[in-house]
Amino acid sequence: MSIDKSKISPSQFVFTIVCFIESSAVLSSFFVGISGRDSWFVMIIGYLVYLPLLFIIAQLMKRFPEKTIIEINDEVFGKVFGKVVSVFYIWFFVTLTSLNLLDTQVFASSSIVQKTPPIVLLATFALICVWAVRNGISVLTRYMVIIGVLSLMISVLAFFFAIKRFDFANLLPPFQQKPMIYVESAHVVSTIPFGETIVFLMLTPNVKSSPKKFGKYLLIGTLIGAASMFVITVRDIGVLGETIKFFTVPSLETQRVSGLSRTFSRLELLYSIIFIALMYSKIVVLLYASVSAISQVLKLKSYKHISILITVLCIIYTLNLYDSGISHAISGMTVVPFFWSFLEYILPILTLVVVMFRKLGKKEGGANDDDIRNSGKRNNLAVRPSVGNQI
Amino acid sequence: MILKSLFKKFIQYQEQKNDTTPTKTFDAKKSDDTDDLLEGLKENINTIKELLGASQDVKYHNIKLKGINAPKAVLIFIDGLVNEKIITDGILAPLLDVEFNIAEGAKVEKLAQKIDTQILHMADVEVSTKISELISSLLSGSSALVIDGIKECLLISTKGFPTRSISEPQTEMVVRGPREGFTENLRTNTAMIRRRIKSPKLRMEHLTIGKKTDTVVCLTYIKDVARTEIVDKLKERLKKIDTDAINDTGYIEEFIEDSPFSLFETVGYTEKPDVAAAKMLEGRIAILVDGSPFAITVPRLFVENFQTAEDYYTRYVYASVTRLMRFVAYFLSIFTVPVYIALTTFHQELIPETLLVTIANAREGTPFPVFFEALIMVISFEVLKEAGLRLPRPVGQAISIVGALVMGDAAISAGLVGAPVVIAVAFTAVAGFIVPAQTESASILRIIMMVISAILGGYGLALGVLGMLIHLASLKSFGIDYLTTVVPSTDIKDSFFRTPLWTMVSRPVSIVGKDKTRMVPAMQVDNDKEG
Repeated sequence: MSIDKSKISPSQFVFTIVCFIESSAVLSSFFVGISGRDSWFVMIIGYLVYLPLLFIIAQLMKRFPEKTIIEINDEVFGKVFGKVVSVFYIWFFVTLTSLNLLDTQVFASSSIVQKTPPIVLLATFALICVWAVRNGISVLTRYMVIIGVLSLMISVLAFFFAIKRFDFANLLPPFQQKPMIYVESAHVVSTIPFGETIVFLMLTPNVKSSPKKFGKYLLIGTLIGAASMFVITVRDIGVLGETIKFFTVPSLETQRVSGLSRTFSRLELLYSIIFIALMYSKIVVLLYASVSAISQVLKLKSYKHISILITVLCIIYTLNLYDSGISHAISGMTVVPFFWSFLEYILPILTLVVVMFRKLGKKEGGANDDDIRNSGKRNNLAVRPSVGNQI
Repeated sequence: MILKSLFKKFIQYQEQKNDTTPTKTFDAKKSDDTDDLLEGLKENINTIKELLGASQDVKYHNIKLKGINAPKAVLIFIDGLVNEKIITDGILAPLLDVEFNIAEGAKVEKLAQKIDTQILHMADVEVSTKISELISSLLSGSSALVIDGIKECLLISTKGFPTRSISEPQTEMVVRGPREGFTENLRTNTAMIRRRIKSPKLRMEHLTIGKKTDTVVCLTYIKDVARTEIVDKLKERLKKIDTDAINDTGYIEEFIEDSPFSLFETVGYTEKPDVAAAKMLEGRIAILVDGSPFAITVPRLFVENFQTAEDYYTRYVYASVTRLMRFVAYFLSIFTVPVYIALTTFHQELIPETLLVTIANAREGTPFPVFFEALIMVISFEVLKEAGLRLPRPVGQAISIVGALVMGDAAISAGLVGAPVVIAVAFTAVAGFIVPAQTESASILRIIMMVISAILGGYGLALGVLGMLIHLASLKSFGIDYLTTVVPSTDIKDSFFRTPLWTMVSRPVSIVGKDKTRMVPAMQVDNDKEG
């Protein structure tokens, strides 16, 4: 049972996933830096590789609709080993939060406010995120539909604005690189934007939905996100060509040179706005997952008390993660995907195998599950008063 | 020692919190034994005089009833609160026409009831045995008939104090639509609502709040249309108010609102009965306070700030465009000046070259940074606005002209501020008035955003917007999300735009109670069917 009792609608859940994927799509250097003009194809392969993980996440959600991944670990691996596995996940969530905070700070430092000290940029952004997190899942996902739809619209609009500069020849010739490049890049795509959706196992109890439909929502959310990512990648390659490899934020460069006329130009402003909104939407989910996971491991009644402390630790962690943006980008292309593979693929597979072997959880989400979930009662346990925002 | 003191305070706080004693309606209320009327007229009159003191407006009219062994009586009323014609024609004339023949030493059974039902020409009469009730009625404009030899009195409604006539409200002017507004008289206000909603389900529940003012507060809602749990929650909050005075609906508002520290109000208000009635028909509850020409309505949603009565009286296309414009104007009123500060201070590269040169020329020689220029102008505007509002209208207009034209022009000519700042602030000011309900929040938010943008530029501004949105998302009004209908929901038909009335088949789902349907679906004219 999640510590935060507030509920979110399926549409909010779907668009939270969309925003989560899109936030990585606007920072595509981690894979276009490897595969260059063939990145659009790599992106599709990466998504296909991710689909089995989507099935595993959906199965775990379906079998444990009232449990977060931390509680699932306790049940599947036992109290002690389960806690050890949970600590791995906590490290994963906290590191992801810090990495994304770093991405935001690096972008702001390089493109918006160059002279402001990084600590100020980090602290202010983290402050806003923790404020949202303390208000509960229903508040932090409130704008996901708007942010998701707006960023999709802007992606499509930006494609049309880039048409003047778009050169189809930039995508040619395809598939001329070494096979290992494709494997490496597809691995990065499957772990960094898509594999990170494992974090949504922390949100399962908060979604007002039938357990049977989790798979559908995950699929819709990731598909929309992937489609948006595909459009952005094709556009950036078409505009920038092989030089796409040299930019840390290729989409920003594309927007800088795009424009239909003098009137409709300077689109990087629009990009900056949507970038901050998308990074906010990802970081709040990750920060929420971090603080609620830590609270569950420590058996706290509320996550609010430790939220600020964890955020401060994330800021310190962020400041000490990498020496520069370049080393961050290199790490994203080389080391990080291997660490993430273990947490995003190996551990969930292991969890599902044990679940099936020990016949744990519910096999089928029964018809009454909707009523039970919506009434807030399960296994004759009355729900405790809400920690988050409720009526 | 400190801990002990803190613990004591905590216990006191808990006791106060748990004390849910109903509101006292009369602070001179005595215990049950001493509150009863006595048989002796003299004793009763002395007690009343003792309670009301030497007030010259309290009149004691001695009456010698006709007949054998007829009892003495005193009619008490407060001059100015009663209609003397009603007293003369409805009470004194019939009383003095009748003969009260009572046998020596005999006791008259139920004399008060007989006077009420057989003699007085009055509809609203109550028989009471309590002095507290007598005093309370007197202070509300009733007259009390105290008779010698009986432990009862008659409380006769003779209210007739001077009131303002119904006029067009000053805060919600319309081009098309009803022009009547609430007045300070509660009864007139309830009648105006009754006249609009002739449903037997219309409820008007009265409460008395304020130990000194004894103010009548009326809770108005339509049964089944208003959600029961919201009505109960409101009653609970109203009953908890234990204060000396309620002088206006504003007093009630502060006691019942969900987020007392927020810049955004979670309780609505209106001066127009048609607006109050429309809100009640959507499931809201209106609260009327005796002496206030405003009704407050709950629950309040963010979108209500942008809705006007006229939206529903004009065609939906125009109404939708103007409503969308209000949303845009509200955000422009907050963000125009901060964006200008961010652009000119941090992101000059985003300004088109020609405009940049124009701004640079205009600012040449100005001594202050853009932020201070803007701050001076914004504060000056707020001062002028306040001065213009409080002064008599002709003087207020003069102040506005002197302030806006002379001072603005002089400031630019003297080179103290640049012309673009004046334009930005002036535009902000005009845009802010398009959404009158949020002028206050916009004024404060504008200054907050200016400070943020001066420190962190566009990045800070983006964070400021996020912060504002998070705060808005966290607000609730009587358990209903403040942003309901603004963020995608089923009630979107009446939010950023207004769809035709015949599409609004159901009442707002987020607020309404059991009675969800407003009309029959698809009522628009079908020319094909009509032929």
